[in-house]
Amino acid sequence: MSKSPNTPLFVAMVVCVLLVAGVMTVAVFLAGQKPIVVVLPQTSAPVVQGLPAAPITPVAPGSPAAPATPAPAPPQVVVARVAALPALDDVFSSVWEAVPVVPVPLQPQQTAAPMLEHATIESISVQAARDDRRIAWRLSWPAARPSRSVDTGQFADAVAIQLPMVDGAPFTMGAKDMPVRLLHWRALWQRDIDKGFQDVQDLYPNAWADLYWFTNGSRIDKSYVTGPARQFMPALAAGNPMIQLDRRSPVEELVAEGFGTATHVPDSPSNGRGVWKDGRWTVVLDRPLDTADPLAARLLSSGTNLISFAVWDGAAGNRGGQKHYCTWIPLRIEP
Amino acid sequence: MPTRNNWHIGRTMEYPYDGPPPKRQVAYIFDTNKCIACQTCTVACKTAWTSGKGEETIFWNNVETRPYGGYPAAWDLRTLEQMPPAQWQGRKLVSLTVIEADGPGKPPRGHMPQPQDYAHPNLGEDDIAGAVNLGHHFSGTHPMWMFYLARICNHCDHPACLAACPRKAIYKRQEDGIVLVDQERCRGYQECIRACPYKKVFFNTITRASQKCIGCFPRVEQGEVALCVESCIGKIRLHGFLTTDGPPREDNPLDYIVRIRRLALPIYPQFGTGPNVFYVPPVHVPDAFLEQIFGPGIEEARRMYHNLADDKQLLGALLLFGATNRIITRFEVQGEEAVGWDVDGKEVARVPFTEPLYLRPHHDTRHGVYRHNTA
Repeated sequence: MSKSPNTPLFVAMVVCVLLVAGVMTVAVFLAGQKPIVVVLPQTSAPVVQGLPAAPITPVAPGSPAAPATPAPAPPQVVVARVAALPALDDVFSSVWEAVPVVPVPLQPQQTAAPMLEHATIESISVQAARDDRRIAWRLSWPAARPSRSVDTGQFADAVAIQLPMVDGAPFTMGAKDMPVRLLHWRALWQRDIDKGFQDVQDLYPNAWADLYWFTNGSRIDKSYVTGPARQFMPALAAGNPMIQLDRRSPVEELVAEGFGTATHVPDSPSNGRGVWKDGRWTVVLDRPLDTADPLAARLLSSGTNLISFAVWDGAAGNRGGQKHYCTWIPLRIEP
Repeated sequence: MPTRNNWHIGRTMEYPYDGPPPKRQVAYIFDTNKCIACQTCTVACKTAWTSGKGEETIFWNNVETRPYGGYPAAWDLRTLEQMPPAQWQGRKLVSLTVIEADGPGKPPRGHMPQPQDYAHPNLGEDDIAGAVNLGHHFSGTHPMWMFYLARICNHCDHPACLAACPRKAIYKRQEDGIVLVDQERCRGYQECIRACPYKKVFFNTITRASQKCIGCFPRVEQGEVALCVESCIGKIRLHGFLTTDGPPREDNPLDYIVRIRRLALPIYPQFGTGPNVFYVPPVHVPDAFLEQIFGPGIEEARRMYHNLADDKQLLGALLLFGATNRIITRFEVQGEEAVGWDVDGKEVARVPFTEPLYLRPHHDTRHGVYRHNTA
């Protein structure tokens, strides 16, 4: 540069940088080689009145978890009444623009082993709305890159909401005879729905096997699950809900009565959709408000309820109890 | 945390769960001096149990070459790196095990392999420890050496995989000590894969659950040896049970070889999980390497192996390797034969100390032809 400055190139670079900076709604700092992403409050959506916004401070990926400090006045989630919830696949519907955004600070789970040693996600943005027939939560958090697949040592991004089924259930996955209900979305399951079940060839395009016993071909099809080939997929044969070749919902419901007890609820009505766009996951969890259903009945019967959230950063190895979570937050449902 | 007795390390040890030992403990002895790495065991196991989709790189049984081989890659080196060097006072381990390393209430210390670590099951195959130059000759232990290490799940007394599972989806069977992953309950958190120091729990990318060697339990329940044992053409393996409800029995070949004579040694006993695959150490490999991998007692084991010709009871037990598909629970040396009985008390093996020799004359007078070695 100093000997023969390439002035046009330099000017072009400066213009580019200014242009990029101008349209950025996310400020990016560099710490070492990894960016710190600071989420600025969205000006288009109002913050819930009367509640102080949660402090947002950057957390460097991989930095030790902050010591537990007295939390500021807790937020609450108000389930706004809307005329009609948007269609399931319309995650970015304008209906959500009128729904308040509540930033909920998260902490690394350090109560039960295995603990999450390092926090990588600071907070989750929560919206909730209902119409006559359904209730939905729209959750959003930063993810520099989406983690959608699983393999040895590789985990998918995920999010969950937790709702108590009885008064007094602890936020730590409930307790004996004090169950909680979980609505759990995984990026892997969303991928299964969007692109078809993740097969070996999707993970390893050059994978080759001479033969899978009793099957019709090298890609998974019905012959794998309906005939004698089924016995070569032991978890499938045992009825493990982790493998569903014809998954219809990316959301699983679970009940839990304490650490390590989360149990799949078959045929649950939850549905949803998650989209990764511009460095953020935006996930809608959607559930019918059928009063015959115990969870819906509980949500509708009392004016105030509780909710808590958990987020898994797949790229950081989050899975199971290694997650970001928060304590109970009031959940107010507009009649 | 409950305290448990760990005979492998000659002391007690803290472990997340208490519980009585199983009624009997499934155990195996592999004679490394006889293994030729033909991988018949590997193929028998894989064909029977892990030839499904998502199990492409899962080998419950594998045979790797020491010192450079290992599957998954560097499985033991990466554990050793994380731990302080093992310190033994005689047969007592004074350093910490992987269960204890990070303190009470913490999961076992471990490492998580990556997918590429499973890509080369035969990494380092047949490589020897150093170059052999013209003029080298060997006697006793060899300055350049290699040996084959056949590996399966150790169905440990104090499994690290079981200790690590936050869902209690791994259990140790009361009837025989076989360690299993509940295929219905596992949610694929892979804590077991990270914790197992032997890296013998695997992730199935299709079922998204962890899987491990099931000890051929449907066969064991019928009194049959595991498929890797039955298929072993070199007859390097003996499959049976260690006594857990009393002192080791002289007439139980496993008890006799492992507990009474200590000819076969556990693999990496310093990890502290109480592994139940025992190895007759290779006689030609230098002590330093063997002590790291098999713990104390190398010299004695080597001396015993060299003296087998004069050690009829021990040789008799070794003759039963590969002699039957039934699990031998009792054996005896009767004259010039070693005899084994199965769990039903039925004689299932009778092996002569000296194979009979038949000499056939070069000329067959009955048919008027000469015999040749070729067909």
